Amino acid sequence: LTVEAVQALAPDEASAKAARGLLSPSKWPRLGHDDSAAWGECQGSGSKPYQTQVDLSGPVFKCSCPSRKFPCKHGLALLLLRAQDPGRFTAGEPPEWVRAWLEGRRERAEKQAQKQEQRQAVAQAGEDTVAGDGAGAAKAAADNAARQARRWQRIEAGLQELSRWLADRVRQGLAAQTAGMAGEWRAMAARMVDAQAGALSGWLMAAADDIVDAGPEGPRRLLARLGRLQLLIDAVAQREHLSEAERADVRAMLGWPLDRDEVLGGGEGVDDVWDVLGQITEEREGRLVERRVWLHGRGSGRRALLLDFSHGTAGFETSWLTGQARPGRLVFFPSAAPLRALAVQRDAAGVPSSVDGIGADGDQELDRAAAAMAVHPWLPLWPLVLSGAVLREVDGTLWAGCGGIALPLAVPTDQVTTLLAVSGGWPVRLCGEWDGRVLRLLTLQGDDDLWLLGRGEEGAR
Amino acid sequence: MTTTLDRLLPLALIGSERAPGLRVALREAPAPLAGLMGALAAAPDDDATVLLRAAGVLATAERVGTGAREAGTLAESSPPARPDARPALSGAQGRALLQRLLGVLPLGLRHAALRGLAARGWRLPAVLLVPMLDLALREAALRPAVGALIGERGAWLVRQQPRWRSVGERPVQPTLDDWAHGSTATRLAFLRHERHHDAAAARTRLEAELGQLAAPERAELLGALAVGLSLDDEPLLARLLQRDRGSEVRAQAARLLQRLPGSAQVAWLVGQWDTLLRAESTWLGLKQRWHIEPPVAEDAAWKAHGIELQRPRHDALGERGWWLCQLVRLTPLAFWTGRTGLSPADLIAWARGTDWKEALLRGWREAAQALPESADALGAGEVDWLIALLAGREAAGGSPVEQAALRHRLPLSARTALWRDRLAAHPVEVADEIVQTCTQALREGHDPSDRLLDPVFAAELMRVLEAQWSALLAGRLDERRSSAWLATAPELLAWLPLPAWSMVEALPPPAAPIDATATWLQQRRVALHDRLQQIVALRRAFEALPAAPSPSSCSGTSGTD
Repeated sequence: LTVEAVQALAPDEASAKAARGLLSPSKWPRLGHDDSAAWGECQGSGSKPYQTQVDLSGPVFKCSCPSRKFPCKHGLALLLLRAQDPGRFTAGEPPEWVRAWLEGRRERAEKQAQKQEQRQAVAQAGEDTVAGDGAGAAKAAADNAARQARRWQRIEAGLQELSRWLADRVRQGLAAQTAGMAGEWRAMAARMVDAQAGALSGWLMAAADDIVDAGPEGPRRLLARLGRLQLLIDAVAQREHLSEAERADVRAMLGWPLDRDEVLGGGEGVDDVWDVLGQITEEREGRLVERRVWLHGRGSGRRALLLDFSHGTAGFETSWLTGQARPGRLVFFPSAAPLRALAVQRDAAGVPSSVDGIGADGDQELDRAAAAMAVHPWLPLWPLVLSGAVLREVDGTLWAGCGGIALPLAVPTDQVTTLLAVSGGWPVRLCGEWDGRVLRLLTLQGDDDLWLLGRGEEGAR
Repeated sequence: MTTTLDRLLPLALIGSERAPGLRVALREAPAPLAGLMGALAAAPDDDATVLLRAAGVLATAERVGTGAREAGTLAESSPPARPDARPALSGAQGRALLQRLLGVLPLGLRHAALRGLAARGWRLPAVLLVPMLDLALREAALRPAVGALIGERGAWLVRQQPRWRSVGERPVQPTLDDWAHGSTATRLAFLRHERHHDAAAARTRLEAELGQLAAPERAELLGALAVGLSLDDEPLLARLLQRDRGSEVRAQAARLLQRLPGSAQVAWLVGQWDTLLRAESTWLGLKQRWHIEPPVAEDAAWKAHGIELQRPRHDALGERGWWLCQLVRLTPLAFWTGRTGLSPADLIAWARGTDWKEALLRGWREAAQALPESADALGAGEVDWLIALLAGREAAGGSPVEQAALRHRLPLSARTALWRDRLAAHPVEVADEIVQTCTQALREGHDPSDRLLDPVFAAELMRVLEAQWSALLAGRLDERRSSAWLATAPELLAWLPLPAWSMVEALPPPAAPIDATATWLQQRRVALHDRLQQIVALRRAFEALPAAPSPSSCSGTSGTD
């Protein structure tokens, strides 16, 4: 693990900084490692040092400190030390407290694998006996179908009300929707939660924002937003005529995604070596943190999204590192444009990434995005990988010119100059999230530097 | 280009019940959506819903490329950077090392590390160019070192970012623009530069400007005349000495005139001493004995020669002493040795035996402050004066600051001799001066790395430091000196050559403070030990860097893992 990879694991910049402050020799009276783990005792403010350990196969962290952040600064500092100065670690047998933890982890992993096998066996058996004596299973399936039907009805009723209300707004003219009326839109947003279509409340809140704070593009944006909402209302009304995959997309857009077991049961599984194209962690409302990891299948050429949420500072499972690849199986959520996936079997160790061959010019990449957005009109983001893109700065905005097309980039303002430096005006490969308007840059590969979002900023201090 | 969505927008804003034309707009939609729009136009639903539905389809269709532009419509970009011959230190380990240089570190450490990189043939990786250039902008003394490492990529970046120009283009040539719009320091730099190649033009320029300046700026810019000072400057200086309303301007003019032996001012002063300084032969006529007699009454002519008539209240000198002191202050030091034939050390000894010792010594110290600031510009006699005023314990009095300023004017060899004398009794002060000397050398564009310290002195210094720092870490040093070392030790260590590193590594760590009752100083000791170890570790890490592969044997890219 390199210094940068370790810093990318930090739950926030404060943790990374705190970890960098813990690198002095006197803080770590004992440091050790072997092939599978690293451990150390870190002198904190108390008399007893913290016991910090890292299972390198993940990496997975454990520390006896009371911090709620994960990984904590001690774990990060331990890996930073190992990256910077491996000579300070004594190689050898792990002490008892490390051994116990590693063994516990191994046992739990085995149990989990067994459970998974059992579940698959049961599912298999259920399919085999669907016509036979699986009366209990059949009853459960029927209950489930009835429950789903009831929810669809509630949603449809709510959406019909929304449709009438929207039509009224348009009949009277959107120009009449002044800031004073934003409250009505917010009330309608709340109605959508009651109608079990919670995700639509977000659309209506955003529309209310368009009304209150309308820039020059505001009215057009509002109309486009409401139009796409109307298509979703239409799709719910027409749901019987949609394919299973399209129905899954509609459900996801309503805020009613398939649960994990449904995906594992019905989703398409793809075995491949998955290169991590880039990732981003964003804070949402109410201390909810969202992480998106974008993958590219080396053999299949498939692109995939791992979408995870975490509360507060709990952090994420840390085995997906940008610039690395993992062999394993992804199961895709059913969708007309399959993108979101779940990772199963991820015990295999990471391998160096090799993404040199992937990516295309702007036209081809946009065609790919267009194909996905045509079959899934509400698809929020699509990962673009541009090879041979030339950066240029025009009035403070960075553009990536690539094959006759130029796309505006969304990057942290303090990073614009660094990105220019990394490119040197030469063609580079970059990867980002395209929402139709701007490309949120996640990685950029220059001739000898790799720039990652969320890293490198510390250099400016 | 007006899209169908643009045509629908006014209808939606005005309201579909008031604005007709929806179905027409849909039927006129161009390919490829003509069919779909036509079908929507024929739908039986009410206008509002049809409008929203059509807007949804159109928004989806244009969404994927909304933000994209034709590349040709953007402004032409500048040509790319020329390829770099030197490889970038861009492996993860190397980058981590460079990152550490950006933290809070002594100047000397940063400088040594950057020079080491350049000497080994590396350049900075592109991702670190921005923070490094910013560092050089904050720390002017590092500009040449950073500038030598930025390579073609950095030069390309600097061309696009004017704020870094001072880093990339070295040496910095002040321009007329700097004179017109710069800060006082920048304008002074311009004037000094101009004095080097056209002293008269610079003087005329300054003279024309004086009327518009406040006194402090007049005094500061006047300092530029020290470069290439000649009798041509006398008329201006004499006029300022007599007429300028700012006392600091008059003092500055007097200091400059003092350096002109042929000036009327110096001639007048020498004339004054004819009556005040007399030699008496001893009764055998074999030896001369010098007598000094301060003026007994004010002279109306004094004011025109820069003598302040008003004695500051509470001044330690009496009125006659005050007059004497000022005459001494204004007189070139060389006069004394020339007139009496005595060496500066003898003169000081003589002064101690007179009734006017305080006035004479103070006057000489102040006259010494008027000497040129650079050691190269000093004559041998003037160096002797500085040594005499400084050598011997508190020989000539004066505050520590004043003494430090005098030492600072000495050539390095003389300064080293003084350091050696004072090292045992005042180790922290000597350390501070070494740090200042090194920093100053760097600011003036010299590389102070190794050859600054004389080897014999360096060995002595090392012994003293080892004793001092061991005592400090073991808690055997008093609190005043300990606190002084806390700031000075890391700065000094950054400048010291290799033997110091092993000495520091062998220092026993202080006992870790175990509980909350540990004093501030105990905690600081632990921190200091850490800091010293870190500095040595970092210097060793940079020292251990391999030489860059030569451009011919490598493709120019090193691993980025």
